[in-house]
Amino acid sequence: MGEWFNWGLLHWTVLLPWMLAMAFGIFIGSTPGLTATMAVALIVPITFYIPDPNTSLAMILGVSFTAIFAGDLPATYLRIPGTPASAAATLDAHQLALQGRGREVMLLNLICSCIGGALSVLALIWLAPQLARWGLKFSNYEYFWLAVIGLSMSAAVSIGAVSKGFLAAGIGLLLATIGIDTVSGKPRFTGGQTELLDGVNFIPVMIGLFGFSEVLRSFMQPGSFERTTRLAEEVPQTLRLWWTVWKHKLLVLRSSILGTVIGALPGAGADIAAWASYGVAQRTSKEGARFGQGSLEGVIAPTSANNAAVGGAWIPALVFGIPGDAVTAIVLGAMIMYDIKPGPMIFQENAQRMHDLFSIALLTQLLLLLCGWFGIRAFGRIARLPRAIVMGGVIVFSVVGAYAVRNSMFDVWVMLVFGIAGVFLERAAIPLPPLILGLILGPMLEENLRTGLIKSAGSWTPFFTRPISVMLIGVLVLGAILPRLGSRFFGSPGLPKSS
Amino acid sequence: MKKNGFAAEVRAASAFGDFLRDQDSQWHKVIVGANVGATSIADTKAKSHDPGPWAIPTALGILVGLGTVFHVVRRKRANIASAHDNAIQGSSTKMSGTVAAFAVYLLAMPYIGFFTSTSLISVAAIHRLGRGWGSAISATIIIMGAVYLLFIKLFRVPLPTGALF
Repeated sequence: MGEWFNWGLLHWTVLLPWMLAMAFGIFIGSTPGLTATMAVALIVPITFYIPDPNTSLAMILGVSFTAIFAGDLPATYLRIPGTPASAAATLDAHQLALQGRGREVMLLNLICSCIGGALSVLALIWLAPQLARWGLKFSNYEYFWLAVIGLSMSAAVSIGAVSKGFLAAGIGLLLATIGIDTVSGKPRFTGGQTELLDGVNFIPVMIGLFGFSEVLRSFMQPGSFERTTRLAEEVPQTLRLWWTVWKHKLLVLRSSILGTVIGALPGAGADIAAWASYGVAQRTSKEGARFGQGSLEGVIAPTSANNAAVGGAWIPALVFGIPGDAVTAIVLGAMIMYDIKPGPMIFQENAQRMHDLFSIALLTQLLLLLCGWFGIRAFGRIARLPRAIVMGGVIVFSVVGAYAVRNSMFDVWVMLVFGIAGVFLERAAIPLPPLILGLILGPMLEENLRTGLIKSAGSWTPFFTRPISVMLIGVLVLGAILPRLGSRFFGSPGLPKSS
Repeated sequence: MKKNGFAAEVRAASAFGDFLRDQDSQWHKVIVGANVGATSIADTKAKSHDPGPWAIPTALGILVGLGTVFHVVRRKRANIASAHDNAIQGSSTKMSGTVAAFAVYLLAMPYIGFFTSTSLISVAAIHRLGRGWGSAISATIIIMGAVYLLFIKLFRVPLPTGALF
């Protein structure tokens, strides 16, 4: 066994490229249309020119953590989530930014992201083998229930009538069926468009629903538009921020744990983790009714969870070589090139390198505080610009962001269509988050339901009898019953208004 | 004469014809066998109890349709319309105009290029939202400059180009 902490990581020859890479991660993550996956994919070839493997790993890990955090910057200031994992935080963060609390929200987000990331790294160090083994017990039946639990969050994240939340989730699920059916290989609802064979791309939909719909509304309601112009940004006191985090310590802890566990499940990434923790927070919070209208808890929960999911995804990746998400898959490939072979023996064969990796992951959280602070200051200047100019930027970056995902004009049209849809859906008081949730979870739900039925020769029994399935059904039932019992006996305002 | 392949011995022209017919019959068996295989695979698929690619979209379509009807009827019954809807009618006209402008912009982009079309729509949008022409043009130049440096120079994203820039 080697040194637990590699002090060589603190040398400037390591720290300088590391922090430059993190600044690069903030830059890419905060640019709409450029994802965390893209950021990592772009940094990996650069690291091949770095002679020290630890510096290279530090750069790659630094980018993967910072890009997820940076996605919350445009989500807060422009209502355009920089990465899919930022969509959940958009709801409340943007509302608070409109009240002149953008910087406070982002600094709070930064602290929570660091805490979430650090807790997930600690979980990676202590619980990796156990959690990974548990995650491997998940089969189609368990993943189906996981998707159902995720969809049940639709009710929780619905602002207003729950039935409208389910309607929006249904629309999202229906949209998710567009493209080649992964079970039978047949195209569905593609209308002969080759661009639709891969399904509706999530990023243009998100940019359209959240960002471009705001542009369209600005043109329709110049009165309300003027009200939000040139709001002076409050400069929050550092102590007050830490006090806010301390007051919500249990929420941060719970969201981080949830994010780590969901991140550890292959296929369930930071986006699902953020929505799940947002939903749970809304159901259990005393200010649940204020979620979506500018609640700090609505920012703390998803931002703690999305960065925790990045660390969580490393658990199955290191122990079994199964990447939890696309970002981890790229990093895993890079690690193999650095002669780190993921697998159950990794802690014996590469003990020193593992210790280095853990040290890098923990230090990244501290460095994120510094890099993130600069990123917030730079991006916060947008809040001081006249809103007409900000909207001009939103138009340009929405179009470029939608186009850059696949270099396709088709995606720009998709963005426009969903921008229009966003206006009508919000006008009909149909919440947008469940639609996004349906779109994310749709493929997971359908594929696992059908594959599960094929495996069991049409029998539904395994869906209800396997131990983890039973546990997940229990969670689902408790999630539905407890808040109602709570509101009946204790008058909890956390439950969203029922239709 | 010895032939390779199926190791058949061909002695005369008629024998060669027989050989080909024999081969055809072999192929016929192969094709029938493959067909049987394909049929059995199809049977297995049918027996697999996979609800099929259209089952879930159909069910979802029905549910979403019913849900939409339910909400429309409920809204009409509750008479939520009135003054709010009149205001919406006015903004719908503005919305149609805005959407039409963006549609023209997107249609024009492949012909006149991303930078020309986007600069025009950006200047028009910023001016329409209350800024002067000078402010709109300078803001657009800065935004487009940032896009050029970021996407063209740094990330080499091939943005649409047309007759103009």
